[in-house]
Amino acid sequence: MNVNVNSLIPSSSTDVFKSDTVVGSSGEVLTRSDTKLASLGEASTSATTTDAATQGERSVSRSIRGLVVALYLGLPPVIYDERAHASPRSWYWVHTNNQTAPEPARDEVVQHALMNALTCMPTDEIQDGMTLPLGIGIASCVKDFGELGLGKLASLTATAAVDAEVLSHALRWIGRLEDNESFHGRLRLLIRVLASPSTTVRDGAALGLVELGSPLAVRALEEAASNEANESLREDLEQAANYLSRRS
Amino acid sequence: MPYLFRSINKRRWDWGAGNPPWLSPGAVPAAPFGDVAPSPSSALSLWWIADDKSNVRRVITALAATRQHVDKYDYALIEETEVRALGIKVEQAPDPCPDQDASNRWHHNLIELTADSLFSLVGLIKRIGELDRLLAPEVEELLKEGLDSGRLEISRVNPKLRESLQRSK
Repeated sequence: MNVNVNSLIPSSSTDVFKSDTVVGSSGEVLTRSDTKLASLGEASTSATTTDAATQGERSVSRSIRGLVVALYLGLPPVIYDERAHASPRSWYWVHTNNQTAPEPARDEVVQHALMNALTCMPTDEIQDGMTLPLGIGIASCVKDFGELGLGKLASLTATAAVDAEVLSHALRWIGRLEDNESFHGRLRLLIRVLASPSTTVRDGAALGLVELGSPLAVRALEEAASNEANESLREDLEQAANYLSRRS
Repeated sequence: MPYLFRSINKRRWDWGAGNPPWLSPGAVPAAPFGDVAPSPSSALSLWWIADDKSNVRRVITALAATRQHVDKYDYALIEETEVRALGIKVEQAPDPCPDQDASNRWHHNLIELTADSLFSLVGLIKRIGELDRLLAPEVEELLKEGLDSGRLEISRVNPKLRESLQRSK
């Protein structure tokens, strides 16, 4: 008895295998209405028994086991193709058109990593000089994603998605990192964030610029100070600008 | 006129008319109370500062040495007599510290604090407190000096900070 692969697959509207096609072992499209298979090549464990019924039962059992294990492990399932015209008989790796866990876009990966870094400490534990875990996360994001990571962080500073105090500390770490390659990107980010709607975030950007230590930031800090409505923060921005001027 | 020193976060003290926008006129936001959080025994740690403020940097060095890494240091100075005038009790009480000599000489506690006295203290700091900041590179210099001079007891300096200071030498 030959086993129809499709008969093993549920056909609900949320069916992960729905509207797939079959690709043969040599790469040809075999067009199964519900399954898209990419060949893994000739199986070394081809059935040799001539008892069709037994073979069919074993195939069903193997296929179900394979599917369950693969889905449990999060691996693409492998299905043994029993169709009469499938020659040579092969194991196929199932690709689906409507996967439940699609490959995330790089943008999402960066966002996810950044959010993980920014939320690695409880907000009420964020204190000056005590944010090493946050620093490790930020350093890792800058190293792994470079400008893309910095761009994402800049976007986050314009939203209320992350606590302002956490962002302030993250920006200080941006300035604190010892990474020449990303220096100009970090400088641009910190200068841009001086225009954040949050006083706490603007302060964090200024503190980051002080830690970065570049005289290139002096003019931006002076400009930010002259536009600053908050008197106390204005003094802090001036202090930062004066410090960097003295250093240069 | 001597002062009392308290570590703060300057941004907690920015409030005023229309800032933050949700604050009713005359109301005090909760944020600054985070800088005067008392111990379980209702005491608050402060440091005595001379009239000429000559020991401020040494106190900052001692406190910054307990942190994991170098960061800016925000602080408030309040005239001691004004604090006492609120009816708050001030007692000298040395605390374990990387600069034990500084702690023996200048560490104090405000004791027997009530919610009312904390509210008065926050109002006082807002009204007459001198809020100031040392930037991170300045704090780093102080810490290096403290270690080089031997004023900071190395075993009491935060080990992570010690490592980073040694690396940056």
